[in-house]
Amino acid sequence: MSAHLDRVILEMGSGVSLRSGNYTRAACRAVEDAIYHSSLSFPRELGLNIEEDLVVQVTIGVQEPSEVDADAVAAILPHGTVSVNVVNGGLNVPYPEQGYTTVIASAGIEAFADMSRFRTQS
Amino acid sequence: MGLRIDQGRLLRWPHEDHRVLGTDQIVEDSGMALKRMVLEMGQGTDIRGADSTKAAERAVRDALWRNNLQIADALGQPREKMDILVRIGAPRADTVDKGAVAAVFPYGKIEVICEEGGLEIANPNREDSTLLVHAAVVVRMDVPDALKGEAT
Repeated sequence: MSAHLDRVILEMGSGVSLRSGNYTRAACRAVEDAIYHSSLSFPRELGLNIEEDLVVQVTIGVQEPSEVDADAVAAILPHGTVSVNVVNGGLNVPYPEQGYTTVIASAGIEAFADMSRFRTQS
Repeated sequence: MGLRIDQGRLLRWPHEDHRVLGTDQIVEDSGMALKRMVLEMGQGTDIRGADSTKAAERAVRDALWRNNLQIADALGQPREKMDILVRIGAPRADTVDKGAVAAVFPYGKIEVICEEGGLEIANPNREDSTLLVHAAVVVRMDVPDALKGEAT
């Protein structure tokens, strides 16, 4: 990993498991919601190696962090050196009359790269 | 001080002259090149009232406020130097108030292009309709051209 990494973008999204209480699925949908609303052009434009030079940190927020399969979440990210951190967050919407809970997951995806070579001022 | 276009793939925008997009570069004598850094996308609607401008503004907000972009900071440049090209796809594109769409942006050099697109669906038992509008926001920055192709 480079000595200094600049955070280039934070992408945010949310995802839901409506009736099945599947936290991993909600988390995966949150990640897709976050990443597929933008396209990162700068690595290719600047000649960066999109797998090695791009560091991706995923933070998932759900009400039951232990229920999330972090490897399954990491597998969605198409590029970069990926790490996944699951924390307490998101939102659960209980529906006791029908005996299920709707699970909402939040996702924050940070992309880092060493941009020092491209800076015009220090 | 003329402009030259490097490996330019020229695209014709509906209401504009030729523009250079994507991986293409306009190289000035300053040694800087305008390069596309990010594309942000969003969707906006107007449920009742069929106001294309309102839906377009919401689409831009949806595109922008999903992301926290630090590319200008990372490049050591003020955010005001972000070159922003907004492409709106909306029903009745000619009714979209480009100034209102541009006003959504907190900073940057904004250009708005509207073309026919999105979706309009009639509301049952009413005279009005629901609009869906897309926004694509291309963010470009001037980067030192000398670095072009240096890193791999």
